[in-house]
Amino acid sequence: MSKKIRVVMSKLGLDGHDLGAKMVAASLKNEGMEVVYTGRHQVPDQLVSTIMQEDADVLGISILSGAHMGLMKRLMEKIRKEKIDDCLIVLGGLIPKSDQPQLKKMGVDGVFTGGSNAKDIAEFIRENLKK
Amino acid sequence: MKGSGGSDKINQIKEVGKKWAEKYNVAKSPKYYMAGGIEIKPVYTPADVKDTDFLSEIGYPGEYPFTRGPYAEMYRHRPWKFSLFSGFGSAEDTRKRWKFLWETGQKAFSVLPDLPTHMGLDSDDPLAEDEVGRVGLAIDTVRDMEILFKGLPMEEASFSCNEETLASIIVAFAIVAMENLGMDPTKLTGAISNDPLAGVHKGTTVINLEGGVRLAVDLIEYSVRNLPRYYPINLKAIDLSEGGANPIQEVAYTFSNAICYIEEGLKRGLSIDDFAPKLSIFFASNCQILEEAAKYRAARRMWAKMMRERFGANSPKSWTLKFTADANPNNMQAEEPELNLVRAACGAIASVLGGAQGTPHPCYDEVFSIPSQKSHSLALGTLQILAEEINITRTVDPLGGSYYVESLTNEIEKSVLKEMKKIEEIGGAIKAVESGYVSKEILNWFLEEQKAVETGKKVIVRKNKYRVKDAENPWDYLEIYQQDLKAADRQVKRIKDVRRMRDAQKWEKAMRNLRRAAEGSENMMPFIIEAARAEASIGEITGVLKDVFGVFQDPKMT
Repeated sequence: MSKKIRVVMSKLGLDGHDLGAKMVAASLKNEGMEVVYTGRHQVPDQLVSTIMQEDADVLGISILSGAHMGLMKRLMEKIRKEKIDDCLIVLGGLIPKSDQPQLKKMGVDGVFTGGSNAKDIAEFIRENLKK
Repeated sequence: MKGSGGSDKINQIKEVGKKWAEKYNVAKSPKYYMAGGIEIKPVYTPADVKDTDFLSEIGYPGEYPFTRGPYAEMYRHRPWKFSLFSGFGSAEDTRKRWKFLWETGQKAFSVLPDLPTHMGLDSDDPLAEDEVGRVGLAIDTVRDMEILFKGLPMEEASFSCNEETLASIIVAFAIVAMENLGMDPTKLTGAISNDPLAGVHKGTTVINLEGGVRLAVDLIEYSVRNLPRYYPINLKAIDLSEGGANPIQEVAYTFSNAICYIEEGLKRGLSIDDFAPKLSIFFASNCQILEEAAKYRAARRMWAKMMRERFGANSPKSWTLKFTADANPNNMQAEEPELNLVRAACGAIASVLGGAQGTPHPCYDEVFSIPSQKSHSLALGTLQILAEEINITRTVDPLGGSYYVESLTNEIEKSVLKEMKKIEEIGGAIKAVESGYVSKEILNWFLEEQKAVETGKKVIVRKNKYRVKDAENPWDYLEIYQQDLKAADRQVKRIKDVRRMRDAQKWEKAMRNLRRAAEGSENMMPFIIEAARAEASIGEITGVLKDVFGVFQDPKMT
């Protein structure tokens, strides 16, 4: 049997609306993945040490406040600095289409906006795993 | 209804009903339930409300148990209060939108603070980077409140604010801003959330719950003595609903939270009739119009009984529940967002039929961004149509006497009491929240409902049924609010300027006194006001509270 996919699900920044994050976490569990939810109000340093500790295959981040560009920039810088290149980075939330090319450039692998289907997220994860 | 026919008559009704059900094969048809588990039957008759005594359970509006409304004639002659929220960028930006709403007929100012202000972080705090003025207004010091209030009739207009944990600080800023602008702060009108127990569901609970509840009750006690027209706590039922709760959970946990604050107030020697009239609730109305109207009728009756029977209140003002109700933003969808105008209107109709005193109203595009002026105008116009054009307020509680609505009102009351009992068994609201019980119950319900959406059992138009092929992408044509980065810079500069220019000695003394009060058992409010006068910032004041009470940690979810 193949190893279970390990997902760290998180809320980055001050936005506390975590229903979406919890919902996706539950769905990915149903899809047979192992999911750890970090809780809210995470900062980039915390998230990076959590994905290292958990040896995560996937980092899921939910941001609904619109602060994603600045927060993701600092998170991705930290991830690069720690030379983490085998963790799939997936962002969800209120992410305008116009921001998506730049997020991809920063190294974000997948972006899912409101109304996305959890099954599509699971499929994306399976198809794009880096390890 | 009791007294409206003898038991022979009821038996006859039941008998005919049984035959009717057999004739039309009703027993085999699918069953439906209200969110929270109450079955909705195919038809209701006098037999469903045979034990409901009209005078003691329903009665007249403005009379105990207030099932039909807190006032005799409710909104027959003038509309309830429209209270759309706005808040973005800096005080200057928010003022402009307030002015627009004022001129368009909303005689109340409601403000949403930004996330750093909710969390007690100054605009120049590294953790606030990217978040200043983004989803609300940045309020760092009394200076921002002065800019907001300047030239506005704050002695007459009500000022409402969404702030769960740090309400005391916001009110202190408002009091001092009014003083500085030559207005009389004892005339402050309006309401503030002040409900850290509910803030847990929105993620805005900043300090440990014991400290949070003390701070909340400090503001209540201060208002009883000094702010006769102000509602110092507007319990955030809506935070539970937005966090996924069903209507039964919403009412049950909110009432349990209310009990917690009330008991803390009583412990201080306040009499129930001193402060019960100052409590109010901020509910969320789902689109299910009749179920929600029944929810409000049940809540009002339960509140009256609780105040009179459990807490021994003597004043009718203590018995009446007054509430705000916003159409639940969770009902708003991303697919063809203009349809949210209809969903929000359904929620608002529920609020009006349920007898709300104030209605904010979600904007159809708030799924995507801070609402534009146009969408604010559509939201306010919707409420104005309901108030002025469709005559649902011409008679009070038009649903009263409906076999269905009366039966549902009774059933909701029973279900809520059952859930409240569980909270009491756990040891009260603080324990139930801290242990994660409340969050888990809500999440379980929400996930169940999500499953129903996924399987199509719960229909959401355009999302899981009646989808439009090649539908336009709202992101392509909606006007999306762009954060004004200059406003954020201006805000950061302003807080730095205040720190540099203020009287350092006065500030130090105020902060020392505040810490001493927090460490002791005095009411902290006068000390927070002193700190506001000394131009202390929300981050500095919160810093002291965090030090003394500890930082709130989310309950563990397994």
